[in-house]
Amino acid sequence: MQATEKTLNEIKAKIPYVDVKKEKLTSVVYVQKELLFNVLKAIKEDFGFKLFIDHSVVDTLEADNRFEAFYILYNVDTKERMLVKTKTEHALPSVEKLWFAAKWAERECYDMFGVNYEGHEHLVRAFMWDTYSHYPLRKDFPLGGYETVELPSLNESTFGDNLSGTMNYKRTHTYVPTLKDLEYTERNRIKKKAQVVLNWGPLHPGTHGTMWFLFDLEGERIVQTDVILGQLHRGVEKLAEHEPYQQFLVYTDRMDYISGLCSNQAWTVTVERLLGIEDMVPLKAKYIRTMMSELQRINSHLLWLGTYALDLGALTIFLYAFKEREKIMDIIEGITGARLTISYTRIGGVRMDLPQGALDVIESFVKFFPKELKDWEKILSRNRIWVKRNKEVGVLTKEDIYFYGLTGAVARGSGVFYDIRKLEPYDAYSMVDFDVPLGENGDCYDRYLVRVEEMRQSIRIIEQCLQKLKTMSPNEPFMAESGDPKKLKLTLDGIGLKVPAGEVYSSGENPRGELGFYINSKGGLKPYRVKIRPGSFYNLCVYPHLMENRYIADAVTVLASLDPVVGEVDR
Amino acid sequence: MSIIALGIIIAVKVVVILVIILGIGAYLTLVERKVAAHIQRRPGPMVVGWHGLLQPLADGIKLLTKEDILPSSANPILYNLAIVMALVPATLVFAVVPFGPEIHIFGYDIKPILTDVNIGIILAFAFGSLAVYGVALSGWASNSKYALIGALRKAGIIISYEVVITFAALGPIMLAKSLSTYDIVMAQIHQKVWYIFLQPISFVVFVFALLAETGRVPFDIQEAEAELVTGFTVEYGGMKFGLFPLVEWYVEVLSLSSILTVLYLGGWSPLNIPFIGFVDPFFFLGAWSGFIWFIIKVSILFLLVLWLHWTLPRYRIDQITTVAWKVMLPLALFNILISAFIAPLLRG
Amino acid sequence: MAYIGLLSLLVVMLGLSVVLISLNWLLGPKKKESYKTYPYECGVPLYDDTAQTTFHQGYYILGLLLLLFDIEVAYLFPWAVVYSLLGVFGFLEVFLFLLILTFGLVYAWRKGALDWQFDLESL
Repeated sequence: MQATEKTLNEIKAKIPYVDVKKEKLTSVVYVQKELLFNVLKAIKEDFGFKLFIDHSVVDTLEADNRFEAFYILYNVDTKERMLVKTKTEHALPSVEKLWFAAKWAERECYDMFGVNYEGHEHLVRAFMWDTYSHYPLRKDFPLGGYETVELPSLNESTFGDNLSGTMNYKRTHTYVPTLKDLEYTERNRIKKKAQVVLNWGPLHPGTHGTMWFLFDLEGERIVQTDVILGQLHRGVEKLAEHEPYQQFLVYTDRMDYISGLCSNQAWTVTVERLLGIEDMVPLKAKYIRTMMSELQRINSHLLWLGTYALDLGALTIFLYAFKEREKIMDIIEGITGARLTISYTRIGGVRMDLPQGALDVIESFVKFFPKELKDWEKILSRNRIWVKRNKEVGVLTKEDIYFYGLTGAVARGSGVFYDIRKLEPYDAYSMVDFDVPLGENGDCYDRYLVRVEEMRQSIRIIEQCLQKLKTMSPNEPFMAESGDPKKLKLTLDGIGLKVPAGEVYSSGENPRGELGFYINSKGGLKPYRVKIRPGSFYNLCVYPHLMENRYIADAVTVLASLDPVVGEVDR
Repeated sequence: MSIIALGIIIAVKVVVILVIILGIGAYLTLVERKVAAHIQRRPGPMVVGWHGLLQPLADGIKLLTKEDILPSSANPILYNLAIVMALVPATLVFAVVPFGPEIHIFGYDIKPILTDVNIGIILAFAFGSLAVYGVALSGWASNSKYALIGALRKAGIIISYEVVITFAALGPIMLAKSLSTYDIVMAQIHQKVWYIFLQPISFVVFVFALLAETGRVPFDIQEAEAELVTGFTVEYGGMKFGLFPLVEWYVEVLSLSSILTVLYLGGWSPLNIPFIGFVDPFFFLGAWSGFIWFIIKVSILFLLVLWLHWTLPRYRIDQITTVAWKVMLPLALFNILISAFIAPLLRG
Repeated sequence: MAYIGLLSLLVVMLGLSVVLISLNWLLGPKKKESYKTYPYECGVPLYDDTAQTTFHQGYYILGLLLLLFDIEVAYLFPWAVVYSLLGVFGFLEVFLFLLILTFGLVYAWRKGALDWQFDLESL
């Protein structure tokens, strides 16, 4: 929930030169940009808002102070969330000394908006290559980019000028990086200190997707490392400014493509909170969304377990896990019609009701799955080699969690009770009963145990949802009915849905971390600015710190236990 | 014996060894894929031939017709020499392996062993040690960082386990009082006991060293796909690429399993009840039953290696060398102490 | 005389390996493309031009220890063969030898030489 009046008044009393305001959905602290660092430091240390959630910039196109920057912070003990806002024309002080996660967030803002951060240690672009000259998320940058280069396609090279029919497309395209650009980016990102720099690069079967790591190696020891992201950057946030709210749903499950339903649910809940219709969503829709989300969580954790074991050499668990995944994906396909890019939820409910027989199939799966999980645990959890590879590797303390903005199973593995389903409940999570497993040491072995136990808790949630759904009749509504269609138009296709002006930040518990959406709306059909807070991005920012003075063999273990998905990191 | 008869006998033995390496070695790829598939609850190769029996042929033809690419920054001579250095010593170990008892054909007494010298075991270990050259040369000559890291890791493992394997083998040598492979088997038959019953520690240490020298899980760090994308063979293509796993995973496993059978499991002798005698269900085959028993024992060891490969995760490189020097070597030394007390008690 | 089999196998295997290597060059296609022979480094330009540079290996000391222990085992082979004929004297002599060398191993263990050396200058 947002910070209370009491907290805001305490802040105003302690730091008199800020403005505090409690809006309908957010609590905001306004500050001048020169005093930003001290204010954030005071809020972090004196008021306990230690966890860094997000930072970004909104391009308001005002005459002076064009960019409005915001920082989202969270207090885990009192469960309060706060926004700190400031305005600037083109420069901001860097807060990377307070939170390392801000370093990566600031790189992204520099890349997308051109905001300069003073005091940043190594300000390079986050997603685009270093010789790129534009700032894509500014409002004066067109949606299609600047088409300046002639890049002939295969048809054009073969047929020359004799293109016929539908082959007559435009010849000019936006600029594509060449090998020289990549080489410049590579050399700018890391300055060699030890013997050899190894490209653990984008086309590699061991990195979970197209991530580009650079290891500075001395023998088997990694002296320093850095990450070059952006191989899968698709400009989703720019696209969001041109899409109606319901249409943006299909982009959300292409970000974290392994757990699409959870991302759909997070976006739908955010828009519902901005509209204020959270209580109008029918109970059946809430239970269906919760149940499908938990199925998707098991799906995602099975993929994680399979690839984790595969990377460490136990090749058989990979195939066992994928067999169970096939069963879940068949269930999801039977209910929603798709296996990977699902887009099942709608603003106000779900797309369609559960088909006949779906509940029986899910029930039989739920009965059979825990036994399988127990068999695999016998192979892995007490295996001497597994324990030796995972214990004491990649240790994260509680302070690290706050400093790097880590969420999800990574935070819970170190003992921080941070689960959005319990702290900020949405859908039916407040009505079902489940435990949240916490780890003790914060090493890879604890994160492994936490995720395996989460699968069991998901089974528990699904059983409770099944019980409730069985008592509901098939005629109950699955989509909210709007009381006044002139003011609020809720349909299955979402055309014509107008959202009032305002801003909101809301998040959902993805299997990979906290997926948050910050929507800044000026009224109308399309949002003004959407900032996606990806769990994998901030989970990945602790990787260079964990890899210092470790061995190459641990690079795989640590990366697999952080569980990033590039679609979400790069958006 | 006349020169011609000698020549024919040697030629036949050489041909048998070549058939083992190329023919059986290639078919062992199919066995591995089928066993792996059944552990993973899937059928494995089923398309080419009946239940995939022609699959190695298809793989061989595919590998032979690939393009021969030399990386632009590699050394051509060392690049090709590495394969020769890997293949030749691994197969020379078969020269000292006795496949069965002495048989009488056409009036000649033939021992089915290519080189029956009184230092057979030393030759076997010497050729095994030469295996490190193929690996290290290929990693250096490829001029790629992944190849270098993988090759040097493997070289580190091989030199650690060289020491372990030779210390472990000292135990049966003390009990058999001979270095010739043929004589070690005959000693086990005369003393009516397989040395595995007298030297269990040494057997376990030898199996570990077998897994490490041949680069099998849990010691296959040199080609951990997630980190190093096939390790030191990353710049090789076609048949050159096919020869490396063939030599490393199949020929070396077979040869080291054969040495292990000779040292601990009594070579070609049938089932043993310690100190009492032998039980042979295949007695009706006469002298040829020895060959069957040898094949059965080597197959069981190979299946054990496969079983471990597809179930266990892999170790990290510093853990592998630590295990070799801190655990295996003291165990092998302890085993020598025990054998020193047992050896005078055995006659013959 | 007994080695004639070994020599013939050696000659046959050398010939066979040369044949196997050149089969690819004989049977495969030959097409020149620009980046086909570029060294593999995950599809991006190389940071270092060549990989044949100094690269620290943490088992260097283990290689030195290998030399010592291999020579020790070479001395032990003949003793192992004739052990039963030597009596108590043979046992005690060689066990003194083994004890001294084992003491060396323990010394190396305590000094940390048996671990993987991760830094360039650590011992």
